[in-house]
Formats: sequence, structure tokens, C-alpha cells
Amino acid sequence: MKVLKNKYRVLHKNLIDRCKKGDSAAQFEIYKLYHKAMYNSCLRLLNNSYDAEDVMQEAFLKAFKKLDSFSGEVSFGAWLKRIVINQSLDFLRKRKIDFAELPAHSEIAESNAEPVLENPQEMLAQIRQAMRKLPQGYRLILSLYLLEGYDHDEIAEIFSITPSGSRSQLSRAKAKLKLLLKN
Amino acid sequence: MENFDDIFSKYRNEFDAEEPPENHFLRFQQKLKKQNSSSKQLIIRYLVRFSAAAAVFVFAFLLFQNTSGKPEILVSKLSLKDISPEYMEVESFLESKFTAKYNQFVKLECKETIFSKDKVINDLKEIDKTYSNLQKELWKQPDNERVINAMIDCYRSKEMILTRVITHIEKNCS
Repeated sequence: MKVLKNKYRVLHKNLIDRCKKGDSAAQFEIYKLYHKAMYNSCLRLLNNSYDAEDVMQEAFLKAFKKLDSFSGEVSFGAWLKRIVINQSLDFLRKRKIDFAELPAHSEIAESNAEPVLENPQEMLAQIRQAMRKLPQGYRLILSLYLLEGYDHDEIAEIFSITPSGSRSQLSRAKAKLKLLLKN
Repeated sequence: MENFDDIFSKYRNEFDAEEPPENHFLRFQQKLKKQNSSSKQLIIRYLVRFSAAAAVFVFAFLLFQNTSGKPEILVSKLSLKDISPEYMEVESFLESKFTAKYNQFVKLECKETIFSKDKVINDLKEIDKTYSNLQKELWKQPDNERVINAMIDCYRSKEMILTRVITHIEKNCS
């Protein structure tokens, strides 16, 4: 397992080195390796498959342009993911999506019941579907915190709110999601 | 019964289940090609500047030589219809299919602010640019089937974009 992992790492490094030299074939290989994860991040933030594809591909092109700044301190995937997410947030800003405008608390009937995972695949499909129905602000905050690993300080900066505001918005987003799952 | 945070963390990879729209690989390759050629062009432009005058002279001479017997093709581009009567039929079929879709597209209205007609039109123009470059390639290599197929793909891509957009508008903007 360790040998395989090392072999993969070396292959991967070779690909990135070739990308740095502008090798289109290597750049396409990297796209093939990472497109699915990156596309899903974009889709969760933008909620539109065509925009998600476009923004994801532009993010890849941007990453190839600035590949010299990739130092290897974090994994390539994590570095690329940051670019993809920033590109998605920029896209939303250009579309004049107001990040400060999060839904008010009163709109949500609190629900404390946790989802029951009797059939995980079915339940996960329902969660994915319910996430697409969330108000934009809630979907963004939930995706960034629970799936993309952003902390409350980072989310607060994006939404121009305080970290405690981010915490309370997250719990409202979860409550709304639970409510959608119940219905 | 599991906590939300646990579900998201335990099944993290299951949340990456969706695939991008069809033919995204092809669209990405086109964008990649464009980006790489434009960055190469910056370097090449400087080198080429000094030999440009000579190149133009040679090209003009060759063009005169090649076209003296066939005055109908005085441009350095070829369309599919210039290749053979069969391809003329193919191109006119593809053109009429695209025109029908385009007419349908321009008539549709969408109140959704996130949707932009201009963006779609720009995407189509990008493909037209690719098509125009392929026409130049075809001029150089009229028997190259890869170039011919790529030109046909341009028509198909434009039609596919419009089909998807029309479906989207009809579904979401009524």
C-alpha cells in the first residue's frame, strides 16, 4: 500500500512538473484526475450545472497559469480546491449575490431531529437533493463548513459577518436542511 | 441515528457524486488549447515580427501560384462545402439545423437574472473562431480528415449548446 502510494506521488509530481512546462497532455491528465471533485464543489456553491462547469474549467486554467506559486506545502488537490472555491465566490459576487444577505431566523421552524441513516445511499441522495433547495446563503455556509473544511473565521470574512454570526447561521442552515428532509 | 456533522464527515466523498454536463472534456480541451496557444503566441510574436515581411511576400507569391488556375478560392480558407458535393450537403444540413435552433433560442424569454443570452452568444462566437481557424487549416491540408471532423464537431457543439440552453429555459423560465 505504501509502495503504491509513493509510486502515485512520484507520478503525480511528474505530471505537475510537466504542467509547469505548459504540457497540454499533462494538464488534461490533471483535469481528468480532479474534475469530478472540483465540479461538485462548484455545483454546490453555484447550483447550476452549466455555470459550475464553466467556472470549474476557468479555475483549472487559472491554476495552470499560476502553477509556479504552488509550493507543495499543502496537497495539490487542496491548493486547486481553494482556487476553485475562490473562483466560484468571485462568480457569485459578479452576479451581485449579496453574501451579507442571509435568511432571517424567523423563516425557519427549528427542527432538532437528526436524519436517520437506515439506507445510507438513499439518505445521502436525499441530503444532496435537499441541499440544492436551500436558500443560497445557507447552501454556501453549509458547503463551505461541512464539506470544504472552511472554519468560522474564514466564512465570517467571506460573508462580512462575525465568527459567532457564522456559527448561528450554520445552525440555522442545518435546521433548514433537516426541515427539508422531513418534508 | 447520526449527527449531521458526522454524516458529512463520514460520507464526505459521497457528496461528490455529480458528473459535469456531457462533452465537458472536449470543451476543456478547446479552452486549454486556446490558453496554451495564446501564451505561446506572446513569445512567438516577438520572434516572428522580424520575419513577417518576408513571410507575407512568400505567402502572396504561393497564393498567386496556387490560385491562378482556380480564381474562385482567393482566400486562405476552405469550408466543408468546398471539399466535395457530399460535404456541401453535410454542411448545409448542419447549418440549417443550427439556424433552426438559433431562431428558436432568440425567441425565448427568460426572467431568471442568473441566465445570460449574451454569454451563450459569446460561447457560440468562440466556436466560430475555432471553426475559422480550422478553415485555414483545411486550406493547407484539404485531405485531412481530422480537420474535417473537427469542423463538423464545431457545428454539433453549437447545436448541442443551444439544445441544452433551450431545454433549460423551457424548464426553468416559464
